[in-house]
Amino acid sequence: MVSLDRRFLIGNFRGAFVVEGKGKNPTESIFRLMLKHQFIDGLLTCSKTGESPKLILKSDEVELPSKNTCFGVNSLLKKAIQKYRFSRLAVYAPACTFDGLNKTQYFGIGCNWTKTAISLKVGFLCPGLLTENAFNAELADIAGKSTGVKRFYFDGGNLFYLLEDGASLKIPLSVHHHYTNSACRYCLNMAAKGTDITCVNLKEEDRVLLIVRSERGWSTLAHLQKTAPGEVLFRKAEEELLASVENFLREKILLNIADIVERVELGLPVPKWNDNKLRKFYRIWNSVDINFEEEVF
Amino acid sequence: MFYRDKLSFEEEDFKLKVGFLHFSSCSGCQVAFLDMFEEAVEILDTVELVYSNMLTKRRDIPRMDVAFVEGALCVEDPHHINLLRELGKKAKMVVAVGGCAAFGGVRRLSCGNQLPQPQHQTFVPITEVDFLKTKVKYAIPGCPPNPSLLYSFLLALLEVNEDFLLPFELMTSSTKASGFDIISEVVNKGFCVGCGTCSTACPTRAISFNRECGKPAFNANLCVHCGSCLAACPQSFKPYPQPVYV
Amino acid sequence: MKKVVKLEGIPLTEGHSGLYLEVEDGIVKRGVYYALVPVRGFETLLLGKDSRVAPTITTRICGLCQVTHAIASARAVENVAGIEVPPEAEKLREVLGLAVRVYNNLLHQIVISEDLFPDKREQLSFIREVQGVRKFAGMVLETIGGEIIHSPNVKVGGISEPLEEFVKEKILSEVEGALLRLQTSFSLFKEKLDSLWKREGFDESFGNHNLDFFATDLYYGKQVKFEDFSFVLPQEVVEGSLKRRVSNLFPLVGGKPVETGPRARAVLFKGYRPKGGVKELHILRGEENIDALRRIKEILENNRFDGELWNRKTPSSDGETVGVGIHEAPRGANVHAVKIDKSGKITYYKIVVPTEINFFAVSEALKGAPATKAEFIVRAYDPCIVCAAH
Ligand code: SF4
Ligand code: SF4
Ligand code: SF4
Ligand code: SF4
Repeated sequence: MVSLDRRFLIGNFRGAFVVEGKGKNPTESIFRLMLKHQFIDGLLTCSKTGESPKLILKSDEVELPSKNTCFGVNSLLKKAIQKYRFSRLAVYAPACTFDGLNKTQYFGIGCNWTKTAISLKVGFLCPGLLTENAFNAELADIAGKSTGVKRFYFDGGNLFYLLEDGASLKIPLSVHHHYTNSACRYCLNMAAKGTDITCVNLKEEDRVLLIVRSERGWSTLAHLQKTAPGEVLFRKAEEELLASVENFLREKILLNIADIVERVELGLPVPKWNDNKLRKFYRIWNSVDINFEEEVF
Repeated sequence: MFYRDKLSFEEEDFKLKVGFLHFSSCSGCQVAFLDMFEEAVEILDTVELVYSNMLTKRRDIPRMDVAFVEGALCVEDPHHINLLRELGKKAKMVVAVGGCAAFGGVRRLSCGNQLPQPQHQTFVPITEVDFLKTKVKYAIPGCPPNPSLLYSFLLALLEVNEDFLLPFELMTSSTKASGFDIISEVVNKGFCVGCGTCSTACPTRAISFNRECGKPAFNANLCVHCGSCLAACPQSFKPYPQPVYV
Repeated sequence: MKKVVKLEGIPLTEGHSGLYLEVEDGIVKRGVYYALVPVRGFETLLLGKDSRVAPTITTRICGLCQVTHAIASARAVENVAGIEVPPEAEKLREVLGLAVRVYNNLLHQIVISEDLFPDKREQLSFIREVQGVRKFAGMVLETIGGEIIHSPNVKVGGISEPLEEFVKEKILSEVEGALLRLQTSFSLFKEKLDSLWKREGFDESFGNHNLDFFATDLYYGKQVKFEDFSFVLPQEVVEGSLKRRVSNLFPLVGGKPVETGPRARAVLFKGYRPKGGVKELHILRGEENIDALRRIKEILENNRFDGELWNRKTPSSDGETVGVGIHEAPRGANVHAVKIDKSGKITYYKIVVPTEINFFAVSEALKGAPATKAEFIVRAYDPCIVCAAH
């Protein structure tokens, strides 16, 4: 039986840190520094408003998507690697983008030379993505207004939007679940397990929780601290904060699991060449003693 | 002890016999193997290339462990029919390389009736030929497949990395491919996460990205039926085991 | 003693081809060289399709000199529809064409290295060197064309993506290194070629003929009239069951068989005086690689490509006029001819590729050569059979 414990929800990691950026978004600062000191030669992500994928080459142009919308990042992969010939690329995106990227790296499928061209993968904790229309509908549903969304963040295990009029809005997950991109309802990897670092947006714009997973993520951050001491401040994350992230993920994943179970029970179709992860998950979910391996999902 | 030594000596000396054969193709898939550039030379050194019209002097087709086959079978060509029989006899395993061999590829557009042999009208991918059913073990998508993919595939084949090879085994059972797969298999089924990998994977740029919906948009005019898009989509299959980070 | 020899499958060449030889006392009296791969029907499958997809589809005629078909095809449609192409886009296409020239000619050197190097280890190290230069050519094709094989960026109306200055600089920073490697491997190649000729007992005139030469330009391709071409069917040339198998046409230019390719370009545009035999084909082809890299460097250094390179005008014509697109491919002049209707749909498509043009030249060159050595003549022309039977 799958237990919705930390290992399943957040995945394995080496350390978790609260990072402060002295009035600036620390994740952006980190990428800025990395570009400046040539740890990386490009950053692949989405524009600030998330409407289009973007390739950032200069440190003073670094801007990360701040809303939970970030589509089509991998569509620039060939441009970045085959055309611009970047060999130390960083990518900032939600987990599913890295599923595509990891696949490209592992199989060599889709884009040439990807295996050796990616330096750092930073995923953000993803509550499910929305398109512009979905944002409008969701806001109208929850708050009855249609002002734009500026950024999303997590606070006390809840999802919040900071609106353009300055107000903060708590987003009930049960409603949110309805408006997200349909694939997000079957997602079991919102914490971006296949990355080097997972980044969790917090209430204050200049604070972020970084969950460092891989050796590569660890040594990159260590190296960065040595190269540019004091630019961003790292502090070990409190257990309380991690627990709240875990709570959010648990709540969302239960909604997703209900959808998966329903889908499998109704025998709704999955893509061809899919090794049928949903049915696999269903079996594991419903059995008492099965050796579950998190990497299946 | 002596026995073991001998065995390991033999194992070290063992070289996989591979050959390249082509049916109706553009030879691009075979050239793509060489586009691993310097690495290709190392691989040529590790395996034994027993047959390739382009790279060896052999006229007859010898027995081989793995035949990499590109191109679709032209039923009206007697040479192709011969080649098919030879393949059945001489190759232990067949790998259909590239869109033409695996899914029909650009050959799916052919309608024949061109001088000087207007009767050349029927082109089928080798995955559709029952005669080879038991032999065709893997199909590799792409037009041509990325050199990176061919390189990783060859390594996986040499190392017998079954996790890597499994999806390519699954692909032999689907003899058709096009950009509609992305729409019908992923987008319509509610599994598209909007990552854009399919769009980057398409060798003809037939797939663009619809920002309004966060989904791929497909232009059928440009599709050459190579299968890259669905194969690259994270919702079709995933690397297993997923990269684990400790 | 007279006899007829039929060979099927010529090793160390691309594709499946054959030789018909009438031999007297071991010497070829009459020879015909022909393609034996199926006709894929690129001319008929394009009918009724939007002319803007022609470059994408025709590039798949050949995996060795892919981009040349895309270029010829785009130029044919532009020609018939009166679409003006930004001059920089034409220059960039020229760069692509030259990159594929190097890429392909060096592939040919790899292919015939089996003949040249009796020592396996030496052969592998030669291939490694040559692959290093091919990697550079591949990078040019990939960055500018979009992919190494089958460039999607060559469009009717230009090139779909601008080339940013910093990418251009990246290419330029590697060109000198590639040139150096190319020169070294080329001298080794020439040396080995000499010893092959000595080993086999060939002289300079081995494989000569008196045909005229046909080329349109040194690097890129200039207009010709499509009426100048006529075609002989294989059914008129070969005997017996071969009539139902030979899959290429035998084109004539101005009613005569001609030779196209590196030697034709050298003779017509560089004032080269041919020695006659096929050995010089290898040399001239090799020299073209060096010229090509120099020319790539020159074009990139003297132009900017970071503006709009694509005239997106929708093609349209009267359905009667023939548009012709030429590109000087590695093996010679590659000609595409097209008619399109008002809505831009293709109503007529015709492709004449250099290997096809050279079939008669090869056949002529075979005359007087020892039958057992016929394959060396064929290989010297670097035939691309898939192109020939498109
Ligand atoms: S919820 Fe999952 S599938 Fe949806 S965007 Fe986020 S990571 Fe991707
Ligand atoms: S799949 Fe593409 S590259 Fe391979 S033989 Fe077919 S047309 Fe050529
Ligand atoms: S859409 Fe592109 S990638 Fe997909 S099958 Fe067609 S040509 Fe191949
Ligand atoms: S590759 Fe990504 S964008 Fe394309 S269909 Fe699959 S999930 Fe959607």
